[in-house]
This record gives sequence, structure tokens and C-alpha cells, in this order.
Amino acid sequence: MTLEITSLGVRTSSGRELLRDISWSVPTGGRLGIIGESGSGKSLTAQAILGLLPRGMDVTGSVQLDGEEMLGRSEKSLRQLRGRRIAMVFQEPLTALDPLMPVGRQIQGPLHLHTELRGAAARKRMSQLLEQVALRDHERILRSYPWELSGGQRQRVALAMALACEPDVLIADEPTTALDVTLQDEILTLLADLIERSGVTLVFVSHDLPVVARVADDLVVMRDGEVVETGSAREVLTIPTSDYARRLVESARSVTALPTLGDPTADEEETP
Amino acid sequence: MSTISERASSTTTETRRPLSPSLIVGTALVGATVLLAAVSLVWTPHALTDVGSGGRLARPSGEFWLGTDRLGRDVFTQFMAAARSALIVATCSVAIATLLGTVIGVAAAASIRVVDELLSALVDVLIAFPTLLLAMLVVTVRGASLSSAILAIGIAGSAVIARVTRVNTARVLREEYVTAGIVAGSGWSGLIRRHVVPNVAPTLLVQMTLLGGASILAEASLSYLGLGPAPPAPSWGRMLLEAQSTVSSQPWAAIAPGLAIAATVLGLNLLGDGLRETFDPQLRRAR
Repeated sequence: MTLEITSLGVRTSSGRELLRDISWSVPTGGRLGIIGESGSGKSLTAQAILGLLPRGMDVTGSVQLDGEEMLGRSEKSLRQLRGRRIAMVFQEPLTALDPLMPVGRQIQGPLHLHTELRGAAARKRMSQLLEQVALRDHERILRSYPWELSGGQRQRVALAMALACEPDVLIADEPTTALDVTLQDEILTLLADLIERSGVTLVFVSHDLPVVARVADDLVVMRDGEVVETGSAREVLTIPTSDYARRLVESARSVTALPTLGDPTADEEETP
Repeated sequence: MSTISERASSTTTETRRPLSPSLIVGTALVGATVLLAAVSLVWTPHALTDVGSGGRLARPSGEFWLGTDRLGRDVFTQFMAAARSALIVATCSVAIATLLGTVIGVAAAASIRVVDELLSALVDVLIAFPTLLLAMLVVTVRGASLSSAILAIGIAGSAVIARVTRVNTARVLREEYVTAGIVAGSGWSGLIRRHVVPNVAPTLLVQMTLLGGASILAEASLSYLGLGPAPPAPSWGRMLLEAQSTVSSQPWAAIAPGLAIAATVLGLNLLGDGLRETFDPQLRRAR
């Protein structure tokens, strides 16, 4: 499922420009990383794709999912796309899951909305999903409330919920930022694995270059609501052309070792 | 399998906290009023309008536990039956207030700014408007009766419920799990049902309980002013009014309904506090 964005622009009702002339595309099964500091407009781009922008914002340009225009759709037709063809994983699973609802019912939500699966069939599908996100003890997990699970378990549950209806595109908005480093690694490995197996198109939003470099084939570097650089992960990491991208790469390299630049997807880390 | 259920049961015992004292005392006080009202349905020492056998303004005796009033009716019988009116007023006016208040509150929270501000202004005006004055208006239009009192108190209470609902609904709608619901393809009704109602309900339940106490107090005030249900319908407030002139010779006739009003209102307030301690989503989440 290709996702193609052309000259996307977003303005507030008072006329302030939040996004300007954003253009990029991801091919079916592709993995795009959007990187930028907070306020660069990367999360806003994700929201614009899903039609989640606050009322009163003025959106221009085009967002096409496999040739179909996403912008300007009715709320009803957006509802049919959301969760079924495009899904999203959030930064903090503790707040992205309802504290008063057992996680089983939360995973069931999208199944109820978009599929005919009910009762035993739905339970079987949920078990399958938990299997996919490498969670064991399914009965207990499904009955648990979010606060009864660990951070890593919660993000896996959120992933299971996002993947419930086998979406074509998965938008991951800083999905590992709220997790500690070892968990980050686990979730990234899992995510890469899931993408590999399901063939879902991934848009991975993060401020963390080493993290993005592990999952993305292509990178979009954003700053102040504009795209400053696009290219394959390898190009951007080895020969960044814009000043900003160069600085990002340098500062990332000074703090952590970037994964081997020759093959950014190679994963030498062992999973504990 | 056994380990699963063991672990599950240990989790539930861990999460269950000891009952708060206010919950226990509140339940006991409210329970006593409910019991009194329930018993009055099947048994009272005398018939409510039974006049005569004990004479007028009799002192308490084995037959007339709280003596008789100026018309010779048994005061204790009125006292028991009045518990019924108090509970009916509390239940019905809270029901009206909740129905009206939640609709206004959710509508305000979910609407565009202009509608929200209009509804909020309406609620502010209603809150600023004295309940008694509103009640007098309703009584003027509809005549003094139990249903007038219920309507007036219910409308006044709906403002409080609307305000609490609006704030809490707006808070829940800003939560990321609601966005997650939208992203999953949920529509408005689904979001309200799945996320807003369960997350607002605990706070709302507390407010409803507190409002129940306020309703009983308001009904007593109305009856005391003669704006409540007309005699012979029993009411603690009117018992106070009637006992006022004979308070020096018959203090018990004033003390009993006074204490009953105080105890029931206190009970409902304590119950509300106890429920807040038990249900508050903030406290629950902090665990």
C-alpha cells in the first residue's frame, strides 16, 4: 500500500503555518522514518494523514493511500479507513490505553468495528495477536488492566491493538521513547520483525536518530514544519546534505554508536 | 491454570483497599433512613391522618412515641412517613438533575467553542440563581406539591451535574486513549460509551450522592417555608414549621425531624466522600 504525500501544508485558523510543502512517499511494505526535534511538525504530519487535526486547521495538498485521496474525506469514510487500513501506535502506552478497561476489551475494539469476529473467534484472533507481539499468558493479559502490566507489555498490547485488523499502513509515533533502553531494543526488534512478516507499510516518527536508523529504509528529516532532507537511511546517515541533518548525525554519533552504516537494518544486538 | 487464577485473585486482593470510615458511617446513616421509610410502607404506629384517640399536643407515651400534634395526629407516624418523602425527593430530583446535567455537560464538552460557552454561561446563571427562588417560581407556576419541589430541585441540581460532567468529559476527551479510539475507527457514540461514561461515572456518582443530600435539605427548606407538598403529605421540613410554635412545650416534635434531616444529609455527604475515596480515577491510577 503506497502512501504518498504531496505539498502538504497545515495552517492554524489564525494563519500561522505549521507545515509547509511536505512531500514524500513510501512504497508498499516500505519503512519510512520521519525524524526531527519536537515542534518540527513530524507528529502533526502523522495527525494530518489520519485526519486527526484539531478543528479549524486549514489543510492543503494531498495525502494518497494507494491512489485514494485521504484529505477532505467525511468523518464517516475516515472511520472506515482508520484502524482497518491505517493504524497507529502512540508514544506512551499507559495513556494510550484506557485505565478502566481490561486490555482484552481494548484489543477487541477494532475487531468489533471492522470485522465480523465475535465471541470465541474474536478471542482466538486476540490470542493470535498476543502471540505475534510475543506475549505469553494470554488469559491473564487479556483480563488485566493497563496498570497491572509492565511498560513493555503495555506497548506490545498497543501494538496488538493496532495490528488487530491487519492494516496496510502502521504509523508509529515515538513508540519507544517512553520505554527504558533495554525495552526500547526489544520493541524495536519486535517491530522490525512484525513489519517483515506482515508486509505492513511503516511510518516511524521519532526524534532519536539511532532508533530510526534501526527500522527505516528511507528517512525524512524535518525542521520547523518543513522537510529539509529526504533520502535512503544510508545516504542520510553517511552523506547528509543539509546542515541540519549533518548536525543531527554528528550529535547522534557523539552520544551513541550508530548501527553499522553499511547496513542499517543489520541487528547485531541480542535479544535478552 | 491454577497459577493463573491464583495470581488473578491475589491481584484483586492487593487492589482492594480497606473501606473508608466515612463510607461505613454514611451507609449506616442513609441505611437507617431507608429502613425507616421502608418500614413506614408496611407499618406505622397509627394511620397518617388518624386524628383523635390521643388528644391534641399529647406528651410522648407508649402509644404515641413522640406525642401528638395540634390536630391530634401521631408525630412518630408522620416522622416515619416523612422519611419516604425525603428519599423520593432525593431520588427523583437527582435523577432529573443527572439526566439534564449529563446531556448539557457532554454536549458542552463535545461541541464547538461557541456552543460550549453558551451552555457554560447558562449553567453559570443557573448555579448563581438561588434554588429557593427558582423553587418559588416553579411553585407559582405549578402550585405547591411534591412534584413541583422535585422539579425545582432537579433543575437547580442539573447545573452542578452539568458543570462536573463538562469538566470531566472534556478531560477524558483530551486523553490519548480517546485519540487511540478515534484512530481505531470509533465514532462519537462508541467513544462516549466505551471511554467517557466509564471514566466520568465514578466522579458523577459522588456528585449525585452529594446532590441527594442537598436535595433533602432543599426540600426541608421549601416545606418549612410552606412551599413543599401540601398537607397531609408528610415532610420533615413542615413538621419543623408546625412544631415551631410549640417548641417550648413540645421540643421533641422539633428535635426529631431536625435530627433526621441532619443525619440523612450528613449520611449522604459522608457516603459521597467515601465513594470519592474508593472510586476516584486519580487515586485508582496512582496505585
